[in-house]
Amino acid sequence: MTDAKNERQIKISSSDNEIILVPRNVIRLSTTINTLLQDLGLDDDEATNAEPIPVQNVAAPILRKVISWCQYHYQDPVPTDDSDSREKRTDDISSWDTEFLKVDQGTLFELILAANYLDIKGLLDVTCKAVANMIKGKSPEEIRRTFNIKNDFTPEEEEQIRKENAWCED
Amino acid sequence: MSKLEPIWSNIPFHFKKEVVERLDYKDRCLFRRCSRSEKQLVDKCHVTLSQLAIKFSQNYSMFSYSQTGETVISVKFSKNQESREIHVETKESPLIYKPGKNEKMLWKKLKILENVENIDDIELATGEFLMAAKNLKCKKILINDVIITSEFHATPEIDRFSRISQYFCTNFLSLTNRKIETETVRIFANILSEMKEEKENCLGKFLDKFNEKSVKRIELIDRSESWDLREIAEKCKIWKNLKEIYLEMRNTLRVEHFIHADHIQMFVTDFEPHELWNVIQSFITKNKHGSAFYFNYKEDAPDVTAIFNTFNTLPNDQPIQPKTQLRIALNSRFVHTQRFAISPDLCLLVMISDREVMGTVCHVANINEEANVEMGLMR
Repeated sequence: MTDAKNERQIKISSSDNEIILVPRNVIRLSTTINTLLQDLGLDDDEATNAEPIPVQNVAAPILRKVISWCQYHYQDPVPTDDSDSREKRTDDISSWDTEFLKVDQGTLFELILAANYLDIKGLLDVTCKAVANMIKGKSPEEIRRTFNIKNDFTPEEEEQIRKENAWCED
Repeated sequence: MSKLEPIWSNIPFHFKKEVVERLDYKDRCLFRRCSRSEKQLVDKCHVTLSQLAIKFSQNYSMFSYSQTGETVISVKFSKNQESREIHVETKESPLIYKPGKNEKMLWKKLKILENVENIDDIELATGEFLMAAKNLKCKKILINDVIITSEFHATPEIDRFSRISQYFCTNFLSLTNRKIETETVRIFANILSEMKEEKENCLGKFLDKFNEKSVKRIELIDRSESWDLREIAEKCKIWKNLKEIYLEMRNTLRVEHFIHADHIQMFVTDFEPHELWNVIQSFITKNKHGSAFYFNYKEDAPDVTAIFNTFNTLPNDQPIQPKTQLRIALNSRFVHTQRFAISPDLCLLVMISDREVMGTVCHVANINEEANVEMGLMR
Protein backbone atom coordinates (compact mmCIF):
# COMPACT_ATOMS: atom_id res chain seq x y z
CA MET A 1 0.00 0.00 0.00
CA THR A 2 1.24 3.50 -0.81
CA ASP A 3 1.07 6.16 1.84
CA ALA A 4 -0.88 9.03 0.30
CA LYS A 5 0.95 11.57 2.48
CA ASN A 6 4.26 10.87 0.72
CA GLU A 7 2.75 11.28 -2.73
CA ARG A 8 3.00 14.27 -5.00
CA GLN A 9 0.56 17.01 -3.91
CA ILE A 10 -1.92 18.79 -6.19
CA LYS A 11 -3.10 22.31 -5.42
CA ILE A 12 -6.79 23.00 -5.95
CA SER A 13 -8.84 26.07 -5.12
CA SER A 14 -12.44 26.19 -3.96
CA SER A 15 -15.13 28.57 -5.21
CA ASP A 16 -14.41 30.79 -2.19
CA ASN A 17 -10.70 30.87 -3.14
CA GLU A 18 -9.36 28.60 -0.44
CA ILE A 19 -6.35 26.63 -1.64
CA ILE A 20 -6.21 22.99 -0.62
CA LEU A 21 -3.37 20.52 -1.15
CA VAL A 22 -4.43 17.00 -1.97
CA PRO A 23 -2.27 13.95 -2.76
CA ARG A 24 -2.22 13.07 -6.48
CA ASN A 25 -3.41 9.49 -5.88
CA VAL A 26 -6.31 10.68 -3.77
CA ILE A 27 -7.64 13.20 -6.30
CA ARG A 28 -7.34 10.55 -9.01
CA LEU A 29 -10.88 9.54 -7.95
CA SER A 30 -12.15 12.76 -9.55
CA THR A 31 -12.37 12.10 -13.28
CA THR A 32 -12.79 15.85 -13.89
CA ILE A 33 -9.49 16.81 -12.21
CA ASN A 34 -7.71 13.71 -13.45
CA THR A 35 -8.57 14.53 -17.07
CA LEU A 36 -7.65 18.18 -16.57
CA LEU A 37 -4.22 17.29 -15.18
CA GLN A 38 -3.56 14.97 -18.09
CA ASP A 39 -4.90 17.36 -20.75
CA LEU A 40 -2.89 20.31 -19.41
CA GLY A 41 0.28 18.20 -19.27
CA LEU A 42 0.55 18.80 -15.53
CA ASP A 43 1.07 15.11 -14.90
CA ASP A 44 4.44 15.30 -16.71
CA ASP A 45 5.82 17.40 -13.87
CA GLU A 46 6.66 15.71 -10.58
CA ALA A 47 6.39 18.95 -8.64
CA THR A 48 3.27 20.52 -7.18
CA ASN A 49 1.41 22.71 -9.67
CA ALA A 50 2.11 26.41 -9.11
CA GLU A 51 -1.31 27.58 -10.24
CA PRO A 52 -4.12 25.88 -8.31
CA ILE A 53 -6.77 24.04 -10.28
CA PRO A 54 -10.00 25.97 -9.78
CA VAL A 55 -13.00 23.98 -8.58
CA GLN A 56 -15.45 26.76 -9.27
CA ASN A 57 -18.69 25.19 -8.11
CA VAL A 58 -17.59 23.80 -4.77
CA ALA A 59 -17.05 25.80 -1.60
CA ALA A 60 -14.18 24.95 0.77
CA PRO A 61 -16.18 23.15 3.51
CA ILE A 62 -17.73 20.78 0.97
CA LEU A 63 -14.49 20.39 -0.98
CA ARG A 64 -12.69 19.38 2.23
CA LYS A 65 -15.43 16.86 2.95
CA VAL A 66 -15.16 15.47 -0.59
CA ILE A 67 -11.41 15.15 -0.18
CA SER A 68 -11.81 13.36 3.14
CA TRP A 69 -14.09 10.86 1.36
CA CYS A 70 -11.49 10.39 -1.39
CA GLN A 71 -8.74 10.06 1.24
CA TYR A 72 -10.58 7.13 2.81
CA HIS A 73 -11.57 5.44 -0.46
CA TYR A 74 -8.68 6.08 -2.89
CA GLN A 75 -7.30 2.56 -2.46
CA ASP A 76 -10.66 0.83 -2.97
CA PRO A 77 -10.78 -1.64 -5.86
CA VAL A 78 -12.00 -0.02 -9.07
CA PRO A 79 -15.64 -1.05 -9.60
CA THR A 80 -16.33 -2.97 -12.80
CA ASP A 81 -18.24 -0.96 -15.35
CA ASP A 82 -21.42 -3.00 -15.38
CA SER A 83 -23.68 -0.52 -13.64
CA ASP A 84 -26.63 -1.51 -15.83
CA SER A 85 -26.57 -5.13 -14.82
CA ARG A 86 -25.60 -4.52 -11.20
CA GLU A 87 -28.37 -4.88 -8.67
CA LYS A 88 -29.06 -1.41 -7.36
CA ARG A 89 -29.06 -1.92 -3.63
CA THR A 90 -29.17 0.70 -0.91
CA ASP A 91 -28.52 -1.43 2.15
CA ASP A 92 -24.81 -1.91 1.54
CA ILE A 93 -23.45 1.46 2.72
CA SER A 94 -20.31 0.88 4.80
CA SER A 95 -20.25 2.04 8.42
CA TRP A 96 -17.61 4.68 7.59
CA ASP A 97 -19.81 6.09 4.82
CA THR A 98 -22.86 5.96 7.08
CA GLU A 99 -21.04 8.18 9.59
CA PHE A 100 -19.71 10.38 6.78
CA LEU A 101 -23.24 10.93 5.45
CA LYS A 102 -24.72 11.95 8.81
CA VAL A 103 -25.16 15.51 7.56
CA ASP A 104 -28.09 17.84 6.97
CA GLN A 105 -29.98 17.58 3.68
CA GLY A 106 -28.40 20.77 2.28
CA THR A 107 -24.90 19.35 2.84
CA LEU A 108 -25.92 16.01 1.35
CA PHE A 109 -27.17 17.71 -1.82
CA GLU A 110 -24.03 19.92 -1.90
CA LEU A 111 -22.01 16.70 -1.80
CA ILE A 112 -24.08 15.31 -4.65
CA LEU A 113 -23.56 18.41 -6.77
CA ALA A 114 -19.84 18.40 -5.95
CA ALA A 115 -19.49 14.69 -6.71
CA ASN A 116 -21.34 15.30 -9.95
CA TYR A 117 -19.14 18.28 -10.90
CA LEU A 118 -15.92 16.50 -9.96
CA ASP A 119 -17.20 13.25 -11.47
CA ILE A 120 -16.43 11.01 -8.50
CA LYS A 121 -18.42 7.87 -9.25
CA GLY A 122 -18.15 6.19 -5.86
CA LEU A 123 -19.24 9.31 -3.96
CA LEU A 124 -22.16 9.86 -6.34
CA ASP A 125 -23.12 6.25 -5.82
CA VAL A 126 -23.13 6.37 -2.04
CA THR A 127 -24.87 9.76 -1.80
CA CYS A 128 -27.46 8.49 -4.23
CA LYS A 129 -28.08 5.50 -1.96
CA ALA A 130 -28.44 7.81 1.02
CA VAL A 131 -31.09 9.89 -0.76
CA ALA A 132 -32.93 6.74 -1.89
CA ASN A 133 -32.98 5.62 1.76
CA MET A 134 -34.62 8.94 2.66
CA ILE A 135 -37.51 8.08 0.29
CA LYS A 136 -37.97 4.41 1.18
CA GLY A 137 -41.04 3.48 3.18
CA LYS A 138 -42.50 7.00 3.13
CA SER A 139 -45.93 8.08 1.91
CA PRO A 140 -46.12 10.72 -0.88
CA GLU A 141 -47.03 13.35 1.71
CA GLU A 142 -44.02 12.45 3.86
CA ILE A 143 -41.75 12.54 0.80
CA ARG A 144 -43.13 15.97 -0.18
CA ARG A 145 -42.36 17.25 3.32
CA THR A 146 -38.88 15.70 3.30
CA PHE A 147 -37.84 17.26 0.00
CA ASN A 148 -40.08 20.32 0.00
CA ILE A 149 -41.91 19.14 -3.12
CA LYS A 150 -45.05 21.02 -4.10
CA ASN A 151 -48.06 18.93 -5.07
CA ASP A 152 -48.88 20.54 -8.43
CA PHE A 153 -51.35 17.99 -9.78
CA THR A 154 -54.58 19.42 -11.19
CA PRO A 155 -57.82 17.98 -9.73
CA GLU A 156 -58.18 15.83 -12.88
CA GLU A 157 -54.64 14.53 -12.53
CA GLU A 158 -55.26 13.90 -8.82
CA GLU A 159 -58.28 11.81 -9.74
CA GLN A 160 -56.23 9.85 -12.26
CA ILE A 161 -53.33 9.33 -9.88
CA ARG A 162 -55.77 8.15 -7.19
CA LYS A 163 -56.51 5.14 -9.38
CA GLU A 164 -52.96 4.55 -10.61
CA ASN A 165 -50.75 2.74 -8.12
CA ALA A 166 -53.60 2.84 -5.59
CA TRP A 167 -52.44 -0.53 -4.30
CA CYS A 168 -49.13 0.72 -2.92
CA GLU A 169 -50.47 3.31 -0.48
CA ASP A 170 -51.27 2.17 3.05
CA MET B 1 -21.64 29.84 -13.64
CA SER B 2 -23.99 30.57 -10.74
CA LYS B 3 -24.09 28.07 -7.94
CA LEU B 4 -27.26 26.03 -7.52
CA GLU B 5 -29.06 26.02 -4.19
CA PRO B 6 -28.67 22.55 -2.68
CA ILE B 7 -32.28 21.40 -2.80
CA TRP B 8 -33.93 18.35 -4.41
CA SER B 9 -35.36 20.29 -7.35
CA ASN B 10 -31.84 21.47 -8.35
CA ILE B 11 -30.33 18.00 -8.39
CA PRO B 12 -29.32 16.99 -11.93
CA PHE B 13 -31.83 14.72 -13.70
CA HIS B 14 -29.39 11.83 -14.20
CA PHE B 15 -28.69 11.82 -10.49
CA LYS B 16 -32.39 11.84 -9.62
CA LYS B 17 -32.76 8.95 -12.06
CA GLU B 18 -30.00 7.08 -10.22
CA VAL B 19 -31.90 7.64 -6.96
CA VAL B 20 -35.20 6.41 -8.38
CA GLU B 21 -33.61 3.35 -9.96
CA ARG B 22 -32.40 2.36 -6.49
CA LEU B 23 -35.92 2.38 -5.08
CA ASP B 24 -37.89 -0.80 -5.07
CA TYR B 25 -40.94 -0.82 -7.28
CA LYS B 26 -43.46 0.01 -4.57
CA ASP B 27 -41.45 2.97 -3.28
CA ARG B 28 -41.05 4.43 -6.73
CA CYS B 29 -44.80 4.12 -7.34
CA LEU B 30 -45.36 6.11 -4.15
CA PHE B 31 -42.72 8.66 -5.17
CA ARG B 32 -44.51 9.03 -8.49
CA ARG B 33 -47.56 10.33 -6.66
CA CYS B 34 -45.73 13.35 -5.20
CA SER B 35 -45.89 15.82 -8.10
CA ARG B 36 -45.90 16.16 -11.87
CA SER B 37 -42.12 16.31 -12.19
CA GLU B 38 -41.61 13.30 -9.92
CA LYS B 39 -44.22 11.39 -11.96
CA GLN B 40 -42.37 12.26 -15.19
CA LEU B 41 -39.05 11.33 -13.60
CA VAL B 42 -40.27 7.90 -12.46
CA ASP B 43 -41.89 7.22 -15.84
CA LYS B 44 -38.53 7.80 -17.57
CA CYS B 45 -36.61 5.42 -15.33
CA HIS B 46 -35.82 1.81 -16.12
CA VAL B 47 -37.69 -0.74 -14.06
CA THR B 48 -35.68 -3.78 -12.98
CA LEU B 49 -37.72 -6.70 -11.71
CA SER B 50 -37.27 -10.42 -11.51
CA GLN B 51 -40.74 -11.20 -12.81
CA LEU B 52 -43.80 -9.35 -14.08
CA ALA B 53 -47.15 -10.96 -14.78
CA ILE B 54 -50.74 -10.20 -15.63
CA LYS B 55 -53.67 -12.55 -15.51
CA PHE B 56 -57.36 -12.20 -16.05
CA SER B 57 -60.17 -14.23 -14.64
CA GLN B 58 -63.92 -14.05 -14.85
CA ASN B 59 -64.35 -11.92 -11.79
CA TYR B 60 -60.99 -10.26 -11.28
CA SER B 61 -57.84 -9.04 -12.98
CA MET B 62 -54.46 -9.39 -11.37
CA PHE B 63 -51.10 -7.79 -11.89
CA SER B 64 -48.11 -9.16 -10.02
CA TYR B 65 -44.39 -8.65 -9.81
CA SER B 66 -41.40 -10.04 -8.04
CA GLN B 67 -38.60 -7.65 -7.18
CA THR B 68 -35.91 -10.17 -6.29
CA GLY B 69 -37.31 -13.56 -7.23
CA GLU B 70 -37.92 -14.53 -3.59
CA THR B 71 -41.39 -13.13 -2.99
CA VAL B 72 -44.15 -11.94 -5.26
CA ILE B 73 -46.49 -8.98 -4.75
CA SER B 74 -49.83 -9.54 -6.40
CA VAL B 75 -52.56 -6.95 -6.78
CA LYS B 76 -56.04 -8.27 -7.48
CA PHE B 77 -58.67 -5.85 -8.78
CA SER B 78 -62.32 -6.87 -8.63
CA LYS B 79 -65.50 -4.98 -9.37
CA ASN B 80 -69.08 -6.14 -9.39
CA GLN B 81 -70.96 -5.07 -12.48
CA GLU B 82 -73.36 -2.73 -10.69
CA SER B 83 -70.88 -1.49 -8.12
CA ARG B 84 -69.20 1.93 -7.97
CA GLU B 85 -66.34 0.42 -5.98
CA ILE B 86 -63.27 -1.52 -6.97
CA HIS B 87 -61.70 -3.81 -4.40
CA VAL B 88 -57.91 -3.77 -4.53
CA GLU B 89 -56.42 -6.71 -2.65
CA THR B 90 -52.64 -6.66 -2.35
CA LYS B 91 -50.61 -9.48 -0.89
CA GLU B 92 -47.04 -10.63 -0.69
CA SER B 93 -46.24 -14.34 -0.85
CA PRO B 94 -43.16 -16.51 -1.37
CA LEU B 95 -42.58 -17.02 -5.10
CA ILE B 96 -42.09 -20.69 -4.41
CA TYR B 97 -44.22 -22.03 -1.58
CA LYS B 98 -42.61 -24.88 0.33
CA PRO B 99 -45.16 -26.65 2.54
CA GLY B 100 -43.88 -26.80 6.09
CA LYS B 101 -40.96 -24.52 5.25
CA ASN B 102 -42.50 -21.11 4.66
CA GLU B 103 -45.78 -19.25 4.97
CA LYS B 104 -48.12 -19.18 2.01
CA MET B 105 -48.65 -15.47 2.51
CA LEU B 106 -46.56 -12.83 4.26
CA TRP B 107 -49.20 -10.11 4.40
CA LYS B 108 -52.43 -9.03 2.76
CA LYS B 109 -54.36 -5.77 2.71
CA LEU B 110 -57.55 -4.57 1.12
CA LYS B 111 -58.20 -1.10 -0.21
CA ILE B 112 -61.52 0.05 -1.64
CA LEU B 113 -61.52 2.58 -4.44
CA GLU B 114 -64.80 4.45 -4.18
CA ASN B 115 -66.74 6.36 -6.85
CA VAL B 116 -65.16 4.66 -9.83
CA GLU B 117 -67.83 4.29 -12.48
CA ASN B 118 -65.85 4.77 -15.66
CA ILE B 119 -63.10 2.28 -15.09
CA ASP B 120 -63.01 -1.44 -14.40
CA ASP B 121 -60.61 -4.06 -13.09
CA ILE B 122 -59.35 -4.91 -16.60
CA GLU B 123 -58.23 -1.32 -17.22
CA LEU B 124 -56.62 -0.94 -13.80
CA ALA B 125 -54.62 -4.18 -13.99
CA THR B 126 -53.61 -3.48 -17.59
CA GLY B 127 -52.54 0.06 -16.63
CA GLU B 128 -50.36 -1.20 -13.78
CA PHE B 129 -48.82 -3.92 -15.95
CA LEU B 130 -48.02 -1.57 -18.82
CA MET B 131 -46.62 1.08 -16.48
CA ALA B 132 -44.05 -1.45 -15.27
CA ALA B 133 -43.53 -2.98 -18.73
CA LYS B 134 -42.72 0.15 -20.68
CA ASN B 135 -39.14 0.50 -19.41
CA LEU B 136 -38.69 -3.00 -18.12
CA LYS B 137 -35.71 -5.22 -17.65
CA CYS B 138 -36.62 -8.56 -16.05
CA LYS B 139 -36.01 -12.27 -16.06
CA LYS B 140 -39.50 -13.47 -16.81
CA ILE B 141 -42.68 -11.90 -18.16
CA LEU B 142 -45.96 -13.78 -18.01
CA ILE B 143 -49.00 -12.72 -19.99
CA ASN B 144 -52.38 -14.10 -19.00
CA ASP B 145 -50.85 -16.65 -16.71
CA VAL B 146 -54.27 -18.15 -16.04
CA ILE B 147 -56.43 -19.24 -18.93
CA ILE B 148 -59.79 -17.66 -18.43
CA THR B 149 -61.78 -20.65 -19.64
CA SER B 150 -59.94 -23.01 -17.31
CA GLU B 151 -61.31 -21.33 -14.19
CA PHE B 152 -63.75 -23.26 -12.05
CA HIS B 153 -66.79 -21.20 -13.04
CA ALA B 154 -69.29 -23.04 -15.16
CA THR B 155 -69.66 -20.79 -18.18
CA PRO B 156 -67.06 -18.35 -19.34
CA GLU B 157 -68.42 -14.90 -20.10
CA ILE B 158 -67.65 -14.44 -23.76
CA ASP B 159 -68.17 -10.67 -23.61
CA ARG B 160 -65.69 -10.25 -20.81
CA PHE B 161 -63.15 -12.51 -22.48
CA SER B 162 -63.50 -10.53 -25.69
CA ARG B 163 -63.08 -7.24 -23.83
CA ILE B 164 -59.98 -8.53 -21.99
CA SER B 165 -58.45 -9.73 -25.22
CA GLN B 166 -59.11 -6.52 -27.11
CA TYR B 167 -58.38 -4.03 -24.32
CA PHE B 168 -55.18 -5.65 -23.09
CA CYS B 169 -53.75 -6.56 -26.49
CA THR B 170 -54.52 -3.21 -28.12
CA ASN B 171 -52.87 -1.34 -25.26
CA PHE B 172 -49.90 -3.69 -25.10
CA LEU B 173 -49.32 -3.33 -28.84
CA SER B 174 -49.48 0.45 -28.55
CA LEU B 175 -46.53 0.55 -26.10
CA THR B 176 -44.04 2.89 -27.74
CA ASN B 177 -41.15 2.81 -25.32
CA ARG B 178 -37.97 0.85 -25.78
CA LYS B 179 -38.31 -2.90 -26.21
CA ILE B 180 -38.91 -4.96 -23.09
CA GLU B 181 -35.80 -6.77 -21.89
CA THR B 182 -36.55 -10.18 -20.49
CA GLU B 183 -34.99 -13.64 -20.61
CA THR B 184 -38.27 -15.57 -20.62
CA VAL B 185 -41.61 -14.70 -22.21
CA ARG B 186 -44.61 -16.85 -21.41
CA ILE B 187 -47.82 -16.04 -23.28
CA PHE B 188 -51.11 -17.84 -22.94
CA ALA B 189 -51.80 -17.12 -26.55
CA ASN B 190 -55.56 -17.50 -26.41
CA ILE B 191 -55.60 -13.91 -25.15
CA LEU B 192 -54.99 -12.93 -28.80
CA SER B 193 -57.88 -14.91 -30.19
CA GLU B 194 -60.46 -12.12 -29.96
CA MET B 195 -58.36 -9.57 -31.85
CA LYS B 196 -59.73 -8.49 -35.21
CA GLU B 197 -56.37 -9.10 -36.85
CA GLU B 198 -55.20 -12.62 -37.65
CA LYS B 199 -53.95 -14.12 -34.41
CA GLU B 200 -50.54 -15.16 -35.80
CA ASN B 201 -49.90 -11.59 -37.03
CA CYS B 202 -50.85 -10.33 -33.63
CA LEU B 203 -48.50 -12.75 -31.91
CA GLY B 204 -45.70 -11.63 -34.24
CA LYS B 205 -46.31 -8.01 -33.20
CA PHE B 206 -46.46 -9.05 -29.55
CA LEU B 207 -43.07 -10.73 -29.81
CA ASP B 208 -41.66 -7.65 -31.55
CA LYS B 209 -42.22 -5.73 -28.32
CA PHE B 210 -39.39 -7.72 -26.71
CA ASN B 211 -35.69 -7.14 -27.18
CA GLU B 212 -34.42 -9.97 -29.35
CA LYS B 213 -31.00 -9.85 -27.69
CA SER B 214 -32.36 -10.57 -24.23
CA VAL B 215 -35.05 -13.20 -24.84
CA LYS B 216 -33.63 -16.70 -24.46
CA ARG B 217 -36.78 -18.71 -23.78
CA ILE B 218 -40.29 -18.50 -25.21
CA GLU B 219 -43.28 -20.38 -23.84
CA LEU B 220 -46.46 -20.26 -25.90
CA ILE B 221 -49.53 -21.99 -24.57
CA ASP B 222 -52.95 -22.53 -26.09
CA ARG B 223 -54.72 -25.80 -25.42
CA SER B 224 -57.70 -25.06 -27.65
CA GLU B 225 -56.50 -23.71 -31.00
CA SER B 226 -53.92 -24.63 -33.61
CA TRP B 227 -51.33 -22.01 -34.60
CA ASP B 228 -49.42 -21.54 -37.84
CA LEU B 229 -46.11 -20.29 -36.43
CA ARG B 230 -44.00 -20.77 -39.57
CA GLU B 231 -43.94 -17.11 -40.55
CA ILE B 232 -43.01 -16.07 -37.01
CA ALA B 233 -40.21 -18.65 -36.95
CA GLU B 234 -38.92 -17.46 -40.32
CA LYS B 235 -39.27 -13.69 -39.92
CA CYS B 236 -39.33 -12.82 -36.23
CA LYS B 237 -35.84 -11.77 -35.07
CA ILE B 238 -36.51 -12.98 -31.55
CA TRP B 239 -37.04 -16.56 -32.73
CA LYS B 240 -33.59 -16.95 -34.27
CA ASN B 241 -31.82 -16.15 -30.98
CA LEU B 242 -33.86 -18.49 -28.81
CA LYS B 243 -32.07 -21.04 -26.69
CA GLU B 244 -35.24 -22.60 -25.31
CA ILE B 245 -38.57 -23.17 -27.04
CA TYR B 246 -41.64 -24.40 -25.19
CA LEU B 247 -44.81 -24.82 -27.26
CA GLU B 248 -47.86 -26.22 -25.55
CA MET B 249 -50.05 -25.71 -28.61
CA ARG B 250 -50.79 -27.50 -31.86
CA ASN B 251 -48.59 -25.91 -34.47
CA THR B 252 -47.26 -26.24 -37.97
CA LEU B 253 -43.53 -25.85 -37.31
CA ARG B 254 -41.04 -28.09 -39.08
CA VAL B 255 -37.70 -29.22 -37.70
CA GLU B 256 -35.71 -26.41 -39.36
CA HIS B 257 -37.72 -23.87 -37.39
CA PHE B 258 -36.60 -25.02 -33.94
CA ILE B 259 -33.48 -27.13 -34.34
CA HIS B 260 -31.21 -24.21 -33.30
CA ALA B 261 -32.52 -24.30 -29.70
CA ASP B 262 -30.78 -26.25 -26.91
CA HIS B 263 -34.04 -26.97 -25.11
CA ILE B 264 -37.10 -27.90 -27.09
CA GLN B 265 -40.38 -28.99 -25.60
CA MET B 266 -43.38 -29.02 -27.91
CA PHE B 267 -46.46 -30.61 -29.36
CA VAL B 268 -45.83 -32.08 -32.81
CA THR B 269 -48.12 -33.19 -35.62
CA ASP B 270 -47.04 -35.12 -38.72
CA PHE B 271 -43.56 -35.28 -37.29
CA GLU B 272 -41.59 -37.42 -39.71
CA PRO B 273 -39.01 -39.95 -38.41
CA HIS B 274 -36.28 -38.28 -40.51
CA GLU B 275 -37.06 -34.97 -38.77
CA LEU B 276 -36.59 -36.64 -35.42
CA TRP B 277 -33.31 -38.12 -36.68
CA ASN B 278 -32.19 -34.60 -37.69
CA VAL B 279 -32.87 -33.45 -34.14
CA ILE B 280 -30.96 -36.41 -32.67
CA GLN B 281 -27.97 -35.75 -34.92
CA SER B 282 -28.08 -32.05 -34.14
CA PHE B 283 -28.00 -32.68 -30.37
CA ILE B 284 -25.12 -35.12 -30.80
CA THR B 285 -23.21 -32.49 -32.79
CA LYS B 286 -24.00 -29.70 -30.29
CA ASN B 287 -22.41 -31.84 -27.61
CA LYS B 288 -23.87 -29.73 -24.80
CA HIS B 289 -24.44 -31.29 -21.41
CA GLY B 290 -28.01 -30.73 -20.16
CA SER B 291 -29.48 -29.89 -23.55
CA ALA B 292 -32.77 -31.69 -24.14
CA PHE B 293 -35.75 -32.18 -26.43
CA TYR B 294 -39.25 -33.45 -25.80
CA PHE B 295 -41.90 -34.07 -28.44
CA ASN B 296 -45.50 -34.84 -27.60
CA TYR B 297 -47.22 -36.49 -30.56
CA LYS B 298 -50.72 -35.01 -30.61
CA GLU B 299 -52.21 -36.85 -33.60
CA ASP B 300 -50.53 -40.15 -34.44
CA ALA B 301 -48.31 -42.11 -32.08
CA PRO B 302 -44.61 -42.16 -33.01
CA ASP B 303 -43.86 -44.93 -35.52
CA VAL B 304 -41.13 -46.74 -33.59
CA THR B 305 -40.11 -49.04 -36.44
CA ALA B 306 -39.75 -46.13 -38.86
CA ILE B 307 -37.77 -44.23 -36.23
CA PHE B 308 -35.40 -47.20 -35.77
CA ASN B 309 -34.88 -47.32 -39.55
CA THR B 310 -33.45 -43.79 -39.48
CA PHE B 311 -30.85 -44.64 -36.81
CA ASN B 312 -27.24 -45.11 -37.94
CA THR B 313 -26.95 -47.95 -35.46
CA LEU B 314 -29.00 -50.98 -34.49
CA PRO B 315 -31.84 -50.37 -32.05
CA ASN B 316 -30.64 -51.33 -28.60
CA ASP B 317 -33.02 -50.89 -25.68
CA GLN B 318 -30.99 -49.98 -22.58
CA PRO B 319 -33.44 -48.61 -19.98
CA ILE B 320 -32.11 -46.49 -17.15
CA GLN B 321 -32.25 -47.66 -13.52
CA PRO B 322 -34.05 -44.89 -11.63
CA LYS B 323 -33.64 -44.75 -7.85
CA THR B 324 -36.87 -43.24 -6.50
CA GLN B 325 -40.40 -44.66 -6.66
CA LEU B 326 -41.64 -41.62 -8.58
CA ARG B 327 -38.90 -41.87 -11.18
CA ILE B 328 -39.44 -45.63 -11.49
CA ALA B 329 -43.14 -45.00 -12.19
CA LEU B 330 -42.38 -42.23 -14.68
CA ASN B 331 -39.74 -44.30 -16.43
CA SER B 332 -42.13 -47.24 -16.85
CA ARG B 333 -43.95 -45.40 -19.66
CA PHE B 334 -41.01 -45.68 -22.05
CA VAL B 335 -41.04 -48.55 -24.55
CA HIS B 336 -37.51 -47.99 -25.81
CA THR B 337 -34.37 -46.25 -24.48
CA GLN B 338 -31.44 -45.77 -26.81
CA ARG B 339 -28.03 -44.34 -25.91
CA PHE B 340 -26.05 -42.46 -28.55
CA ALA B 341 -22.41 -41.91 -27.62
CA ILE B 342 -21.20 -38.31 -27.99
CA SER B 343 -17.85 -38.43 -26.21
CA PRO B 344 -16.25 -40.62 -23.52
CA ASP B 345 -18.13 -38.51 -20.92
CA LEU B 346 -21.40 -37.63 -22.62
CA CYS B 347 -24.21 -39.46 -24.32
CA LEU B 348 -27.61 -38.58 -25.75
CA LEU B 349 -30.30 -40.64 -24.10
CA VAL B 350 -33.37 -41.01 -26.33
CA MET B 351 -36.53 -42.37 -24.72
CA ILE B 352 -39.70 -43.30 -26.59
CA SER B 353 -43.18 -43.83 -25.13
CA ASP B 354 -46.59 -44.26 -26.74
CA ARG B 355 -47.00 -40.54 -27.28
CA GLU B 356 -43.60 -38.98 -26.64
CA VAL B 357 -40.02 -38.97 -27.79
CA MET B 358 -37.51 -37.22 -25.61
CA GLY B 359 -33.75 -36.85 -25.42
CA THR B 360 -31.30 -35.58 -22.82
CA VAL B 361 -27.55 -35.09 -23.11
CA CYS B 362 -26.27 -36.72 -19.91
CA HIS B 363 -22.98 -37.61 -18.29
CA VAL B 364 -22.45 -41.31 -18.94
CA ALA B 365 -21.53 -41.82 -15.27
CA ASN B 366 -24.75 -40.14 -14.01
CA ILE B 367 -27.19 -41.31 -16.63
CA ASN B 368 -29.70 -42.75 -14.11
CA GLU B 369 -29.91 -39.42 -12.25
CA GLU B 370 -29.71 -37.06 -15.23
CA ALA B 371 -32.23 -38.80 -17.51
CA ASN B 372 -35.07 -36.27 -17.47
CA VAL B 373 -37.98 -38.68 -17.07
CA GLU B 374 -40.10 -35.88 -15.56
CA MET B 375 -39.95 -33.74 -18.69
CA GLY B 376 -43.32 -32.95 -20.19
CA LEU B 377 -45.24 -34.05 -17.12
CA MET B 378 -44.31 -31.70 -14.34
CA ARG B 379 -45.79 -28.38 -15.51
